[in-house]
Amino acid sequence: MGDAPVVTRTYVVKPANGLHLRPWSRFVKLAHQYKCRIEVVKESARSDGRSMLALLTLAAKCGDEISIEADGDDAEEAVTALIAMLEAYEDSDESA
Amino acid sequence: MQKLQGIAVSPGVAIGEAFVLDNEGFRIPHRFVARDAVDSELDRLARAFDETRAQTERHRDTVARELGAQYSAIFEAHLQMLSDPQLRAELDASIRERHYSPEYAVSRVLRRYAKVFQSLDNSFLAERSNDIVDIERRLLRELLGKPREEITNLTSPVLILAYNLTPSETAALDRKFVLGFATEIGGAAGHTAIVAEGMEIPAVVGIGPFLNEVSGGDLVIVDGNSGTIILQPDEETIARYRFEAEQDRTRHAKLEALRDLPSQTLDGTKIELMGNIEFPNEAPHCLERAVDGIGLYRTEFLYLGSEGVPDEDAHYQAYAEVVQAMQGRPVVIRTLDLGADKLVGRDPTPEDSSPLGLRSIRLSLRNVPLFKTQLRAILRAAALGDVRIMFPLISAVHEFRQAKMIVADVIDDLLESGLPFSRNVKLGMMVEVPSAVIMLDQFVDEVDFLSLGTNDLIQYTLAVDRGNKDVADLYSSSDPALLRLIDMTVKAAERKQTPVSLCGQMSGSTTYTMLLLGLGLRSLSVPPSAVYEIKRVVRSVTIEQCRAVAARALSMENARNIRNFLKEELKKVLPEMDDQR
Repeated sequence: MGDAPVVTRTYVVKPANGLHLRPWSRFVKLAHQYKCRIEVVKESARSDGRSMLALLTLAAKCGDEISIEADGDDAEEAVTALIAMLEAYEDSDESA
Repeated sequence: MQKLQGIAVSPGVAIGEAFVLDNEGFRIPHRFVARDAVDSELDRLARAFDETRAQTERHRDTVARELGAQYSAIFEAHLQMLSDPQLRAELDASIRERHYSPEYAVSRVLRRYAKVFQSLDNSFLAERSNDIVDIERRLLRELLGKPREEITNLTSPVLILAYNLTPSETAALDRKFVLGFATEIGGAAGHTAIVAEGMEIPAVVGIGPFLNEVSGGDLVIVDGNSGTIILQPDEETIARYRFEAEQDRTRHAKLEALRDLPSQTLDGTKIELMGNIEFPNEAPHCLERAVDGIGLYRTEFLYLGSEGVPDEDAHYQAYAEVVQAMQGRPVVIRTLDLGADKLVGRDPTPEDSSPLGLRSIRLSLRNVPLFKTQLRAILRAAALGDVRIMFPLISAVHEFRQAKMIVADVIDDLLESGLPFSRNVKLGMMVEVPSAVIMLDQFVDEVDFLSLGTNDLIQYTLAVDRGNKDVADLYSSSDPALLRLIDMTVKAAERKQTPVSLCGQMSGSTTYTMLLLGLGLRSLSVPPSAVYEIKRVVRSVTIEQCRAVAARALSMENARNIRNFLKEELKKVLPEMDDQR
């Protein structure tokens, strides 16, 4: 964990179908590339950012606000990359 | 504790360990492992995960190559689930701390996730529960080392819980080990229900989705009397059901004492008791109960299997098995009694499933080659014993004559073939259409025997579709119109001394036994499970008593009053008799 501060960024779900298998599957794959602790929070629910099943149970719908929290040396890079990934997913045809 | 309501299709109570088959027929096995086996079991789980992941990667690559990356995304998602650290932590903890077997842990943990997904207010996610089930299945396949545990190879007593059991799967169940079963789908009129009753296995069908709530080895209660199943029963409930099951056994043992006693009334009138069967392996159950023969052998199962329209040999094997098992006692084989919708190789139309449509003997007469195949097999099996042929759904005399002519044709063909067969086969008909009852004085000149099929006779007389639950309350075996039709049939048959039996559901219900004897019936064909109870009533009454009951019932005009009256009369004779049918 080190002395690095906790990095938190919020994201509002855009895809009409919400966040499901594909985006979370990419999210998890990407999260594994970093060392920091990563968690995704929706309201009172908190999920391990590397647990596909836990992320799915958040049931993030279009319009929901989620926040990504990371804690560790590469936290900043991780959160930036993960948000970028979710935004890129919105723009792809698959999100329809 | 969770109590679920389904449809009771076969009476009795069973308590035991669950043997769960999902809609792929997969078994989830036993739950605990020994303390010192924990490490090796954890290794086994790790290997199953590795192998399942490797397989999924291969799938993903194949699909990506052949269909494109878009289609392989689902496998990518499955891979992420299989690599889910939280899932592995939960599974490892279940094995390490609770000593669950890897199979049980996988099934339990993944089913819990599937349930969470289903409960989320999100139809898209709810469907993802199928992905979880898919992963569960693949992991189990690895852990178990084979795709499917055969339910025919059981070695300990279990209750089978399944999405569905086909009639042939049901018939193949080993009665020694299968204490009862419960299914998510199915209805009271289904063939599975008929088979379960024939095999005397307590059964409940049509419960709706519940398999996600149980795991193999769980203690479960199947109550075939009330049509309920109880998951995770509490101590008190278990005790109550154990007591009930014990009582069932005592009652059964008492009834078994009737086996070798003659089926006759107190005044010495002999009543022929025959058995209704669907599958060849039910014949021995009939013989165990010392029946006088098989009064109704339904042959539909031959056409409902997966192999398409059966050939002559498939028919012959089945018939020969029953005829030989019955050791010279009569066997009444009913020809095809299905709607066109059930026959393979035809796209069903709404008309096909109509009870007023092209079905049964109508279908046979329009498909002569199909009909002849069945008749040839029956006549050949007749060389092995006393076989009789019964045609269903006859509504006009010319239909019976036509069927008879086709039998004559088949006899000519067989004579030419040189195969062993019997030409002295009695030909009879089901009396199940009101027109047949009305015209019975004409029929009796043509037929060798009659059998009242009350299930359909009620349907056609009261214009109530048996398969339509919206009008199910109008369907009644105690309807006064039905009673009169039975009365007319027996009287018309008496004039020509034509043997008449009754094989509908009411023959197996003790409520109606006195009525039927009073109306003049001297032969009843009943499900094997009902033989002793019916015999008990027969042996407790006089014909005079029964005639008085019948006369009174015939004078009444309301089905419910008739039924109550019949129940009261039965109680007068046998106060402790409890008709659960």
